Amino acid sequence: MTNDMISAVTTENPVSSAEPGEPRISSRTRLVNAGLSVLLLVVVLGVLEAVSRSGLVSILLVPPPSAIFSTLWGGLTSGIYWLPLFDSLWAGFSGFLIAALLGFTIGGLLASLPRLERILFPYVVAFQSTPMIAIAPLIIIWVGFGIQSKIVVVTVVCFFPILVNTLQGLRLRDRDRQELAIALGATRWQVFRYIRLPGSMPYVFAGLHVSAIFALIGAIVAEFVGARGGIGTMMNEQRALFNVPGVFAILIILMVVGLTVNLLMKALERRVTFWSREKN
Amino acid sequence: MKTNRPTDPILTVENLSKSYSGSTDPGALVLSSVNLSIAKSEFVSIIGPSGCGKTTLMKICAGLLSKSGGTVSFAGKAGTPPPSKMGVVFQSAALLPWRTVLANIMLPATIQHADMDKARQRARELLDMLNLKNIESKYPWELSGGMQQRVSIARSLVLEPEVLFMDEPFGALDAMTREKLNLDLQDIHTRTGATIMFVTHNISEAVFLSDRIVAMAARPGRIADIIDVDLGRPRTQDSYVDEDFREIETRVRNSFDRAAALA
Repeated sequence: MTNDMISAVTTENPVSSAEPGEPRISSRTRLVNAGLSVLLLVVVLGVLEAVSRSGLVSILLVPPPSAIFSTLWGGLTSGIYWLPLFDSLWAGFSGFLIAALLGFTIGGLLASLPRLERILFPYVVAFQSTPMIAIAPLIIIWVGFGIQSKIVVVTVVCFFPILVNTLQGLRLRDRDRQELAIALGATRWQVFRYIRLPGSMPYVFAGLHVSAIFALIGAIVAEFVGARGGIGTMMNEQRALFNVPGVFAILIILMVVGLTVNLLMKALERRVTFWSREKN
Repeated sequence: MKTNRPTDPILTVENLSKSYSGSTDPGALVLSSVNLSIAKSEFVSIIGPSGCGKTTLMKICAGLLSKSGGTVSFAGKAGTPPPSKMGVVFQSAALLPWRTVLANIMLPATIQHADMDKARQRARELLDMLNLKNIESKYPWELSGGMQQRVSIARSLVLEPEVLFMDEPFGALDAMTREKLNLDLQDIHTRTGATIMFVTHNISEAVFLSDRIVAMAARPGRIADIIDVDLGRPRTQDSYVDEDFREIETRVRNSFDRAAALA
């Protein structure tokens, strides 16, 4: 049944490949579009390669893609990326989990204590409007150069989107559902457990999705501004050595990681909130 | 008025009033001195122009809205029916999209810690009764509007309530679906013996379903007329063209028009 659900959802999803029920033209158009996307990449890489080799710009500043990929390949086979990458991902993951736990719990608490929420809300908005990443240097000063400071930075960066989205989701008041709850004689806890909490999930997951990307950014920036270890530190070292292909190679790794995180979150989101896209 | 006083009322409304502003100006009253008794197993429709307070009356009787004055009593005791003894069907199906059809129908049992096995068995019976076969593991958004409303009716009946409150449940459905659901509802009424308070603005629907029709007038919302529907049961699709049916329909329409003219 759950599988049926997933397939039912993918039918609605424009990136999914041809479905039996879909008109043929649209699936062909999709294939053509995918082909054009790949073609664009090939053209851009080709132009970069040509420009770089022609000597119009310094090879130091714009290395040819071929050099970047050979650096990347060399790094991957020698294994130099794995430990720092794991370091950063671990910090990002732990910070994200802590933020999710805190954001969700505090969000739930504030949603059930409307008075407290009203008092705190201006500050929540203020913090959410501040680029929290900017306090990363301060956190390094307070917490030190170890992995702890990275985790704290990630937590701080991820916390507010999760909190605000949870609050927003739990604050939804559907009149019909409220009356239904009264008619059924539901207690406050039951209303929360059976109606408000599940109903808030699309919002909560939107927050988690944004935060998962923020977690990666948080970890890297913490490393840029002083936290030891990790792929961000490695990138910084490559930069200091003026090894531009090395910097680009790490950027490609980060891009792949970011895409993976994005896909994972999307899959998770679709699993939990399969009903929300269909509802409308 | 004899028809207003059944011998064995299960639900009684006395001198009920409702105002939102708190003012005592009679024109500002949503409901003004409403008196109504409904007998056990009786099907009563509340009909009237928009703004006459018919939904408000129903919601006060169901305990969903507070009253400003008067009393509501259920089974001889002051107060609205306890949730375990009533079911409510709303204008919208109000199903939870993350729950399957069966889980939606079971929601009242879950909330009231009822015997789940018994409720599940009852839910399946209701699915059968309401022509909802093979959809118990579907989700509400996979169903048509008519089917969603059937599911919400099944939900309201899963704990075998004594009283069923229905607030224009078929208002958003097309005429064909509506007629089918009216037949099914009549069937359910006969089989369960539940007392039903049914709010509608559709006259032939009210005549088709009811034992009595309460016609309301607006500003202030009040009962303008109560019409007995002495038509045999079961009523069928042919009943709509019966002479007796048409006659009652005309009487209700006249009350309705008078009520509308007064407002």
